[in-house]
Amino acid sequence: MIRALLCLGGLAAAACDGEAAAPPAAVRLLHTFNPAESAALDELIATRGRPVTTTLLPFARAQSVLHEVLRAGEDCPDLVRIDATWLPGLIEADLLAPAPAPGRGGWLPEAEELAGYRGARWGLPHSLDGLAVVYRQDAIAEVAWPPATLDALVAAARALTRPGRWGLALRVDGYWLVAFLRAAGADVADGTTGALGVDGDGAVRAVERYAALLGPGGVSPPPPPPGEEAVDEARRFRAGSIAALVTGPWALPELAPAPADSGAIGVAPLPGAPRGGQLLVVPRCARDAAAGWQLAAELTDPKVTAAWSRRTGMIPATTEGLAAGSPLARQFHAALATARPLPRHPLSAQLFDDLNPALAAVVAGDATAEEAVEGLRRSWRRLIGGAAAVDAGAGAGAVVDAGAGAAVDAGAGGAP
Amino acid sequence: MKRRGTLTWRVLIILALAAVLPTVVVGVLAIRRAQGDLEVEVVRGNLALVRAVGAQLDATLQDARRTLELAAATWADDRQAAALADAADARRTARLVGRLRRQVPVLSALTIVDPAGRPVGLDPLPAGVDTGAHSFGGYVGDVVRTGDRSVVHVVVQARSRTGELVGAFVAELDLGFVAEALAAVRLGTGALLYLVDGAGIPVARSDGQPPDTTSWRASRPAVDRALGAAVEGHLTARGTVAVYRSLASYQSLRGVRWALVLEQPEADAYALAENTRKDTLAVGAAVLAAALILGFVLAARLTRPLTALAARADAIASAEPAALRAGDHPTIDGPGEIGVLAHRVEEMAQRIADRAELQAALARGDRLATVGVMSASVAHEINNPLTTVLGYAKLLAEDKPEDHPDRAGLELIAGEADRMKAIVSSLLDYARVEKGTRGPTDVAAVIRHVAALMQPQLRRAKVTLRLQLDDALPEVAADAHALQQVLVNLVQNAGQAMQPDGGAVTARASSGPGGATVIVEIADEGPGVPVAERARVFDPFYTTKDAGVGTGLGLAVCKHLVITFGGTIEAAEPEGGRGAVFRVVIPTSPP
Repeated sequence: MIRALLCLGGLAAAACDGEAAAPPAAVRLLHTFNPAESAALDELIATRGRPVTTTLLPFARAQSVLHEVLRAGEDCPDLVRIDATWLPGLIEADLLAPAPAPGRGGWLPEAEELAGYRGARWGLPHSLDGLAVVYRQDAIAEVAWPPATLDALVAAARALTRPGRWGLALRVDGYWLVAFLRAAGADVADGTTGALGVDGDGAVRAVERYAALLGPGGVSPPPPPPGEEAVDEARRFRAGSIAALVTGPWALPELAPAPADSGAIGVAPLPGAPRGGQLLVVPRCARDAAAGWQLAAELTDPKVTAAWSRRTGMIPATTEGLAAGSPLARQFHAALATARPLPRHPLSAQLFDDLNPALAAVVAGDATAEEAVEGLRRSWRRLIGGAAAVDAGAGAGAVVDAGAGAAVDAGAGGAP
Repeated sequence: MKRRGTLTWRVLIILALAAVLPTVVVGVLAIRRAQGDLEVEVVRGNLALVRAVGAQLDATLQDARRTLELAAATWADDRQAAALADAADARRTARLVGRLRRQVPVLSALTIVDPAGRPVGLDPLPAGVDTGAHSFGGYVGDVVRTGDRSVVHVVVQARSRTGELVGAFVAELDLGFVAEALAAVRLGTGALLYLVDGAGIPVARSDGQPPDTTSWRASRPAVDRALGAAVEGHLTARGTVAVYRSLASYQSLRGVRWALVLEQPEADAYALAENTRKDTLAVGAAVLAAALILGFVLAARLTRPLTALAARADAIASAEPAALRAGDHPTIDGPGEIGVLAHRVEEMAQRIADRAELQAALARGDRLATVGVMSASVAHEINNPLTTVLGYAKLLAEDKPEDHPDRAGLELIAGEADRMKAIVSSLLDYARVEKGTRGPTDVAAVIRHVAALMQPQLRRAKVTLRLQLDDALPEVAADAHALQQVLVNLVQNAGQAMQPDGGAVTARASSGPGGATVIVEIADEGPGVPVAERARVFDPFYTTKDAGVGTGLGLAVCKHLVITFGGTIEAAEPEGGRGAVFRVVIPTSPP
């Protein structure tokens, strides 16, 4: 009836056509958002004119699945949110479309850096992250704070540790170990230079020292069962049984669930910490790349990211978004000022496949630091060799398939 | 009738406003709240069911995965210790696989690969399965359909005790147990529980139907939502209530993109809420109807005495004397204040009746007083010339001899003049305002004095006067002379009423109720006074005697005198219906 009236009135030519204008196809978004971010996303797309179909990629295997999907080209998404460490692998596999010229400025420099690779821009930065020390304000009065070095941090953690309270919670996770490797003169392998990173004694000392900090005699509580780290840390932190912990901004909502709690906690730098971020990228196989970039622009709008920041603790990638975001997120961003990203190479995303088990073996007492690091060296040498072969165009196809991309939880630090 | 209806309906409207409407509002709110709570409970219950099923699947897969992890770790340590493959290694691997097959019932195939991805004997590596890179040590892959079977590959990296990669176990698990688990769930009416893989293709469903091979994405909103969500949720769309849970939230299934969805038609899901709503409405309607009926009955009962009171008030307003006396109407009873009101109305009616009578009496008295004053004036003016006429008539008659022709005429003039003087005297008696005294007067003494005074006259008229006087009569508040004049008049009338035959006249005196009055009755045996005439006999100039016998002022004078001392006089109903009885009630003198 309305169509007929419009037609009679000559108000809408489309209404007089034989076929009604087809509704716009839904934009397809693949993401790795956590529950809080998923809820925020649902609210955003509910108010959007064009529909969005979302698909969650569970983080644990997201990179592999993403490579499979983008290679297959069927059911291809229009937009994907990825960890920044996955970007080199996806670009090297020629699965991404370059980003259009930036329509909006105001990006934080480190965010711009994450979105670029080999001189081109491949996505819109969505958020920044990394590791820092989150602490209870009421616990650190008795020590020199913030610690300027890792040694000072460990010393403070020991001073804060007492019966009923651990000084600094750590995870059995290679990403957490990076700062200790760097403090000991070691580092993760660098695919861009071919440096192994752990070939010196520093790596053994770092692993030994790190493992000694966990459990009785250390500063961190014994490791909980795998997968329960975040819940265990949040519970202990809120109860005051840990004074501080090394974590990422994604954990802030659980550590300070109420706005009033924000003043009770603070964020200090973790010397030598790794940092990274999340990007929104458009695959080459996207059916509607323009719609994908449009949605990316909306998701990275400073107002949107500021709101998400206040809700999920994420660090916005723009100056404006950061300024209007969560105060704790701003503190976290400031604490990441001296943090350094992982090497920008496809290899970086899979280094932790071997680093995590090696560290876990030492923490569990199954292996000495020397044994674990020796095994790590063998594994990473194979990786670097494979990567070199990939760089030389030799292809892939083994268990440790560098060409298939990486799945290391570098950016999210193992968050589920 | 109209007023009665109005009052009843007003009471009903007040009942509706005061009780029914709030009850309806509260009832509607309660229904809506109960409905909301039930809907929440439906979602909560279904979510709990989905979680339980998810946990069951998780437990099965977790058992399998952990067993595989243990086996892989053991194999990795043995293999590293044995410095890679040799003949013994192959035997150890075969024994390990044998144990695995026994310990993991859902295991249908197993492949072990070395770090380079080459199979170490056993089954070949399934196509499209990566062997665990970027997976934190292992993963549960996507569902693979082979013929009518759905299987899933579980990959576990085999790492030595130092964490070094030695190889990987790739196990194929038969997902038939999922369909069995879903089919065993007790679901609500019309509910369907199913598991979809990451592409939205159903893997197993609770109704036993074979899994579809096409994706349910885009066709089922719950599937879209489930595959886009991180944990769980619910939605209502297209007449269906759905709850969903991503299985990626379970520890053993991290990395999978499966989701459990439970869908149920709204009509079935909220059947309890709908039944509760209907039952509540039915009961509420019945209660309201009962309340209205009861209210109507109560209102009618409440308004009935009010209606009677209204009718009574109408009757009182009509000023009909009969309406004013309570005894002429049925008693109006009512509960509480209404009963009090009815009683007060009757009292008011009684007072109005008394006042009406008093006003009538006063009006009559005024009229009579006016007549009396006028009569007295006329009588006074007539009396002097009449005295002159009478005196000269008598003188002229005495001067004339007996046989003088004028003598008879002069005597007639004197006689008529005498009679005129008697009339004038009576008029002056009636009009005279006697202030006199108000007693105390001994009634019995006055009656005896009247009897003595009247005895000769009564004897001549063959009339016997009998006295019936109570002992110890109280004294009355009346002037003795006025009372004597009243009684003389009444006795004289009684005697005249029995002429020419004569008869008995009885004078009775008794004490009134409570000793407040003395009642004097003069009864005769004459023809009596007709009922219709009894009220008029006290009017001036009313008489039943022959012309020239009475003046018609006797009883009027009597009533006038009785009223002056606060009493009453009436022609009463004679005992036995014969004769006449005049009853005089005189207030007693205060002690």
